[in-house]
Amino acid sequence: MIFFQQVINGLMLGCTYVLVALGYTLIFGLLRMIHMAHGEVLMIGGYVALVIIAYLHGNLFLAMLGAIAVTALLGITIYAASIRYVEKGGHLSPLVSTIGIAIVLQEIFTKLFTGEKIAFPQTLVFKNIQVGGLSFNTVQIFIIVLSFAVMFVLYRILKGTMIGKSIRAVSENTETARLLGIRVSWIVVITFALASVLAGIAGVLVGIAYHSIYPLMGIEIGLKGLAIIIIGGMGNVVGAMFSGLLVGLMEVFSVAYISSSYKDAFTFGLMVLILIWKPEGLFGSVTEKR
Amino acid sequence: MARRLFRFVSVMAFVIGLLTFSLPGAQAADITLGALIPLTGFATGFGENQKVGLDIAVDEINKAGGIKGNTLKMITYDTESKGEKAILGFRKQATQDNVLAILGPFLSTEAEVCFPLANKYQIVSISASAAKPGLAEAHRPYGFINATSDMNTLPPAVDYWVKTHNIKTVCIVTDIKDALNKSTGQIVFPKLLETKGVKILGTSEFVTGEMDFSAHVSKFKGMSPDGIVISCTLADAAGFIKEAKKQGLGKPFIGGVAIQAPKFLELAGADANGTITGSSFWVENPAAKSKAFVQEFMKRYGGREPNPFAANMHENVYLIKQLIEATGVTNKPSDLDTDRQKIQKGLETLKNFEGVTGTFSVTKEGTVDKSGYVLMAKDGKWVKP
Amino acid sequence: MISPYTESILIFIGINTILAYSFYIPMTTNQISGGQGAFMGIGAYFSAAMTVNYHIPFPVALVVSGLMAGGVGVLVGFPALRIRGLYLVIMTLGFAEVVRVFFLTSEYFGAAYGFSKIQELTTMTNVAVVLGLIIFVVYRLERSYLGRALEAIKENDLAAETLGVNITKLKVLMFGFGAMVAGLGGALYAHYALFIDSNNFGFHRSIEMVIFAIFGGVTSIWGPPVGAAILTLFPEVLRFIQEWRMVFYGLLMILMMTFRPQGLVTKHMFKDVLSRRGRQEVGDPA
Repeated sequence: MIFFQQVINGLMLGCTYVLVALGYTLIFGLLRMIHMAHGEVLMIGGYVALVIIAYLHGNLFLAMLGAIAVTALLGITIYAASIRYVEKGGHLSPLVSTIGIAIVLQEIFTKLFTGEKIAFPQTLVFKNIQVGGLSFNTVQIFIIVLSFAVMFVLYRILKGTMIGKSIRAVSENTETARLLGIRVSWIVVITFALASVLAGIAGVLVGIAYHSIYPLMGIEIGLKGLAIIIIGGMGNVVGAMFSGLLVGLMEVFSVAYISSSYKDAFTFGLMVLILIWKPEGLFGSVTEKR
Repeated sequence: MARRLFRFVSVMAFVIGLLTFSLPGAQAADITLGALIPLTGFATGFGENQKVGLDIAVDEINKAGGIKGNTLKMITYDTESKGEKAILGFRKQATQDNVLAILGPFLSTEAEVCFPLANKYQIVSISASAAKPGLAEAHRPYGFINATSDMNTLPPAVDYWVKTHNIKTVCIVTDIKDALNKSTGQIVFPKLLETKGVKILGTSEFVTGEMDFSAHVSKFKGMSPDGIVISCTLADAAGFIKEAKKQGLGKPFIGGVAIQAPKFLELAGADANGTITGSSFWVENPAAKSKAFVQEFMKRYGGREPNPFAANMHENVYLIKQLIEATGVTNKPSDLDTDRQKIQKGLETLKNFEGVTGTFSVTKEGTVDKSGYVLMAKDGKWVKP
Repeated sequence: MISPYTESILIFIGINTILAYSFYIPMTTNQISGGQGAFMGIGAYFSAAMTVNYHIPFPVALVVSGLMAGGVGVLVGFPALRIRGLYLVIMTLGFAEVVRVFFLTSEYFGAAYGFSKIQELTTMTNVAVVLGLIIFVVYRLERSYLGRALEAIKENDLAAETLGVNITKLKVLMFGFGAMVAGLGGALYAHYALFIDSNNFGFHRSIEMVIFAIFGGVTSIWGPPVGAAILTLFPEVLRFIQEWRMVFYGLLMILMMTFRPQGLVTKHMFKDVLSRRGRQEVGDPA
C-alpha cells in the first residue's frame, strides 16, 4: 500500500515537472531558442498568486488568473526585449542574456520578499481520503487533475486549432511557414506566452503542493525541466508529458527504495544516456536533430 | 575600433589602479571592524536576518559613546554565499581596510576557506553561525565560532523527548548535502539516542532543497516508529512535518539546531505543535537583555523574529568591544598586528560573558560552552515545555 | 608591492581565464560544452587528494590531475561527437550535475563535508605559468595547419571532411584538451581556496565559465581573458553598492548580449585597428 502511496507521490511531483517541461519543449524544442530564465517565470507565477491571496484577499481562482496574466506578459517581454535582438549573435548570446535576466529577476524578488522561503497560503480544503488501505488527500487530487486538464487543453490546442498548427509549421520550417502566409513573429510571441503561462501555473501548483516558495526556486526546477525534455524528445509535447511523469515517479521511487542522494544523478544520468543512445528522445523529437 | 580598444584598456588600468590603493574611508580615530555576511546568493535570507542583529549592536554601541570614546565603524562585505567571494572580502578587510577583527563568515563552507586566512594574517575571525563540528578546533588559534553544535544543545532536549513520549524506537531523516545536518542526523542523534537505549528502525536521506517528502514519509509510516528525528534545514523540516501530518503520520518530532529559527514555525504552522528541539537562543526568553534585543529586532525587520545567528552576531560585536576595551588595544595603525593579537589572546581566555542568549565562556577549542534550552513548538512560538 | 587583496583578485582572474579557455577550446571545433565544471572538479579533487593524502609535490599533482581530467574529457568526447549544438550543451550540463552528485556522495572525497586542509600552493607565478602555456599552445595551434583545419570545421564540417581533415580526431582532441585545461584550473583553484566541496563544480560553475568566454568573445583568443577579467572585477569594483551588485551584474550581461552579442573581443578586431580599415566584424555565424 505504501507502493501506491509512492505512485501518487510520484504523479504529483511528475505533474509539476510536466508543466515546466511543456513550457521548455515549446521554446527549446519548437522555437529552438534558449531561455534560461524560464524557471524564474515559474517563480514569479508563484509569487503573484501569493500576493493575490495573502495581500489582496483573492481566492485561488483569481490567483491563478493573475499568475497566468502576469507570466504571459512576462514571457512576451523577455522575448521581445531581449531574446529577439540577441538571437542574431547565435545560440549562445541568448544563453548569456537570459541568465542575466534570471539573475536580475531573482534579485528583484529577493529584495521584495527576502530570500527566505515564505509560507504559501493554503486555501484548498484539505481532507484525507481513505479508500481501502490507500490514503491520499484533496490537494494531491487537485494538482493531478488540474495538471492533466492543462495538458489536455494544450494538446488540443496544438493538434486541433489553427494556432497550434501554425506553431508546428513554424517549428518545422520557418521559411515555408512564412510562404504559407503564417505571421511567424506573431506565432513566436504566442508560443512564448503559452510556455510562460504553463510555467506560471506550475509555480502556483508548486506553492500549493510544497507549502512554500522562495526566489531561487526556479533554478533547480528549471534544470530538471531541461533534462525532461531531452528524455522525452525536444519539441515533442506528448513526450514531455510522459517523461515528466516518468521522472517524477523515478525520483520518488529512487528516494523510497534506494537513496535520495542519487535521485538527481538518476535523472541526469538517464538524460545523458538518452542523448548518447537515442538523441531524439524516447518519443522522438519533432525535427531531426540539428 | 581603436578608440574602443583604447577606452577599454584605460578603464582596465584605472580599475586595477583603484584596487591597488586603499581608499581612505574611516576617520583616524574610528575603530574599524569587518563583517562578512551573505547578502546575495542562496543564504540571503539568513544573511539579511543576521545583518539586522549586527546593525542593532553597532547602533547601540555608537549611541552609548562608541568604543573607548571612538566611533565603531563596521565594514560589511557581501560574500554572495560563495567561498571565493568570502576569500576576496576577507583579504580586503584584513590587508587593505585594516580592520581589527572580522565578524563572520556565515556559512561553514565560507569559514573553511576563511579560517586559514585568519591564521595567515593573524586576525581573529569569529563566526556567529558556522556550526560545522570541529571547524574552529581545526583552525586554532585565530578561528572562533560563537555558535553551538548540536552535540552541546541537544542532550537535554533528547532526554526530555524520550522520557515524555516514552520513545523506544525512532526513524531518522537526514539532509546529507548539508554538512551540519548530515553530522547531526548521522552521528549526534544516533549517539545520544543510543545512550538512552532507543532503537533506530530506519533512516532516510535526501539533499537540501528537497521539495517532495511524500516518499520519505510513506517509508517511515510503514515502519511505525514511536518518534521521528528530523535533521535538515528548517524549510525542509517544515515540509517534512507538513507532509507527515498530511499522510496521517502524527508522531512526536525532534529536530536539531537548524530548526531553531522562528521561520521554521512560520512555515510549518500548526503541524509543528509539540516538536521538540534544543537551542542556545530562546526567542521568548523573558530575560531583560534578550527581550530588549528581540523587540528592537522586530521593530527593524517588519515584525519578524531574529534567528539564533542574528543573536550570536549581536553578541560577537559586544565581545570584540569588550576585548578592545579590556586588553589595551591602542588602535594606532602602527600597532595593528599587536592589537589583533591582543584581541585573539583575550578572546581565547574569555569567561562568563553576558550576551543576549545568556552567559557563556569561550572554550579552548575556539567555540563556546553554551548548552541548550529545551524548547517545544506551540502555536507558532518556541516555549519551554 | 601589491596588496594581498589585489593579489587574490589577480589570481582569481588568472584561474577564471584558464577556465574560460576550457570552454573556448572545444568551441573552436563548434562543440559547445556546458560541462566544464565537471572536469574542473575532477582536477580539483584529484590534485587535492594527491597533495593531501599522498604528499605528492604540487607540480606533479597539477599535471597528473590535468591529464586525468583530459582523459575523462576524451572519453566523453567520443559520444559527444554524435550530438550537436543545443543538445550538446544540455547533455554536458547534465554530465556536470552527474559528476557533482558523484563527489557529493563520495565519502573518500569528503562527501558533504568537503575536502579540506589543502595547502596553499597556488601562487601568482604558477597561475601565470599555466596560463601562459595554455595561451601559447592555443596560439600556435590556431596559426598552424591544425588551426586552418579547425576553421574549416567551423565553417562546414562535411566540406572539411572531404578535404581530408580528420574531424573525429580533431574534435575529440579539442574536447579532451578543453577538459584538461578545466582540470588544471580546478587544481589551481583547490590549492588556493584550501577547501572544496561538490557545490563548487556543478551546473552553476559550468555556466559561469560559459559566460566568461562568451562575454569576452569566443572568436578570438583574447576573448576569454578579457571576459574573465571584467566579470571577475565587476563585483569587486561595485562593492560600494553592495545591495544592488548582482542586479548590475545581470544587467551587464543583458546589455552586452543585446548590443554586442559576439562578445567584447572579436577575431578581426586587432587586424582592423592595425590596418586602419575600421570595419566592424559581426563575428562568425554560429
